[in-house]
Amino acid sequence: MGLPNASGDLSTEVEVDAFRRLFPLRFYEKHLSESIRPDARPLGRARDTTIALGAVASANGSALAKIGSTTMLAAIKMEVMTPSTETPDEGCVAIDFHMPPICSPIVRPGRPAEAAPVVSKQLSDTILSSGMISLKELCLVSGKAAWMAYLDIYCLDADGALFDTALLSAVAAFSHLEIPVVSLNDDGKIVLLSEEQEGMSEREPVNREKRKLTLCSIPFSLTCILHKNYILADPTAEEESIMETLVTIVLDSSSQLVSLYKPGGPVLAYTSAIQDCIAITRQRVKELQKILEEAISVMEVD
Amino acid sequence: MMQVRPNLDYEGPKSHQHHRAFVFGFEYGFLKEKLDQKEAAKRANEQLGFVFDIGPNPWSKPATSSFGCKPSLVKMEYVSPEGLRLDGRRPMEMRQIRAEIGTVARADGSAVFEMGNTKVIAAVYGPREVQNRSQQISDQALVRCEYSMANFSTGDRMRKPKGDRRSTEISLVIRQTMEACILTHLMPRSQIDIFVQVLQADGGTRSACINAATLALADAGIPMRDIVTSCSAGYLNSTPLLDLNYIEDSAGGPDVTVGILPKLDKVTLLQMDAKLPLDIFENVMGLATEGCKAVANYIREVLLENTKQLEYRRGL
Repeated sequence: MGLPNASGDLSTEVEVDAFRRLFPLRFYEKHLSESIRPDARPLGRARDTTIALGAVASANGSALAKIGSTTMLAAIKMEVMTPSTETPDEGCVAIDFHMPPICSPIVRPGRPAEAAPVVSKQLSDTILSSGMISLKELCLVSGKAAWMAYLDIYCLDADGALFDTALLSAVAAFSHLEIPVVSLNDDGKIVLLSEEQEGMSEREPVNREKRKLTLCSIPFSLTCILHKNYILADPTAEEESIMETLVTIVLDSSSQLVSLYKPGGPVLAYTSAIQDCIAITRQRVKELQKILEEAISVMEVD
Repeated sequence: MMQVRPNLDYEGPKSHQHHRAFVFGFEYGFLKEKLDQKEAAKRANEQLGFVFDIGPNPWSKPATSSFGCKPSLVKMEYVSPEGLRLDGRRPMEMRQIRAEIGTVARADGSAVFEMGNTKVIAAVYGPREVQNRSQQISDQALVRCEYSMANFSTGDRMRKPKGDRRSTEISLVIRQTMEACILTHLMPRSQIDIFVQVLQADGGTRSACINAATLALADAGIPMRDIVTSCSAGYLNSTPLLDLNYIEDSAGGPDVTVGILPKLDKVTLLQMDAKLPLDIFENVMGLATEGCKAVANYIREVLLENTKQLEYRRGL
């Protein structure tokens, strides 16, 4: 092979692109046999992950999480509501996941993405069942007033691993959340106090310090793809569309299994494959914990 | 062609109803130059280079706010005697602008545009195959636009961010504005989708959306006659104000939004709320146009910088 000249490079590039479009599975298998993927990642490595807290100034808590190109913006808004009679001293958390048309060429205004309600339900179940948030912390006046936290997650760019990024952004938003200061009105109604009014108000605030939620056992997740004998961690959208068997594992910070999700797929997995996935996830959880802690400490320095 | 109808959906508090006058898709050049318009333009030009930072957090509204009352009962001071607005700007100063191109990797073109606290992300997909064959046009491209606000973008959480009347109206406005400048006859039987998502709303969302859409279309490489820039201006406490934020917008005074093609010096979008005497209207519109030109300068810089980066990466 001589020195490649500029025009030679272009034609081989075009051939590779065409091969990638026409025979995607063979293209990937050629890479997998060398234990590498087209974007030069080894099979078990996830893409670069970043978290930025406080991305939305109008919300009580917010975070922007990026895994590779997949971008999710999570924001929490708090409202006061009357708790139900069965649970008079518990607040409520409502989680909603949206995929607006900007995130992917497949989503159209008339036809919402298939993945959106699936991920929404998964997220809701995972966050509420993991015990990360104690609903009793959201209570203001027992039986009369409690907080309703609306968590909205918007996907700004959908490039695979939607659930992982969404969970990460949700967790980061909760760790950034600052509960606003309120006080009781004369008619017994809860009233929001802004910063300017704090000094001069005669009414005692019900929660004096702007409180943060205590989060125990934070869940982190990793999605893997199973294809023949290979396990690919953190797939991109292209990989997900070609090789359809996904396994999502959610572990909490003490490495306990919170959720395992394998919704069918052409590949049937032995339990040893699932064990391998769990091992990869365990390592990933440590990475994610570190990234989240760094993001929080950066915010506190500011 | 003037239509007057009451506006019932408004992003501010429902404290008043006001009428909206539409002048749509109107083209006229700035041929006549009245002396006071030139004066206002000169003053605006001097001060527009100087952008000011945003003031206190506009979403921490205290419960007992005077903004919910009728304007006749409470005399709110939007311009202090020293000539400073609520967020510390001078009347002819714009908020700080920031733009970024190429933020959504999967889109053909995308941009984030911020005007003060208003933050908007736009993505363009196209030209691509028309998804609904019955809507295909044989000699030009079909342009579609969707405007939606995130649930958390405004002070109170929005229940219905997409299908409500205001979003539909703004989608229509953006589509017609951008369609006027895209060279649709070059791409027959295809479709260009412009999606705009408001992440934070603090007044002037319409203008920010149009500016973001322009950048996204440029990033996607779609042929256009000229860039389209937009800015809003109002008139409160007998002073023309440039680039209203949410508090000033919901004050009940007039709000003029202008969209221009800067190089061709033509107006593609002109909308106004409330009542305004004609000579003051010309002043306010001239002010908004100057704001548009300042935005156009900034957008050109951003596009130039982006092109330099692309050339650098290609090794040219």
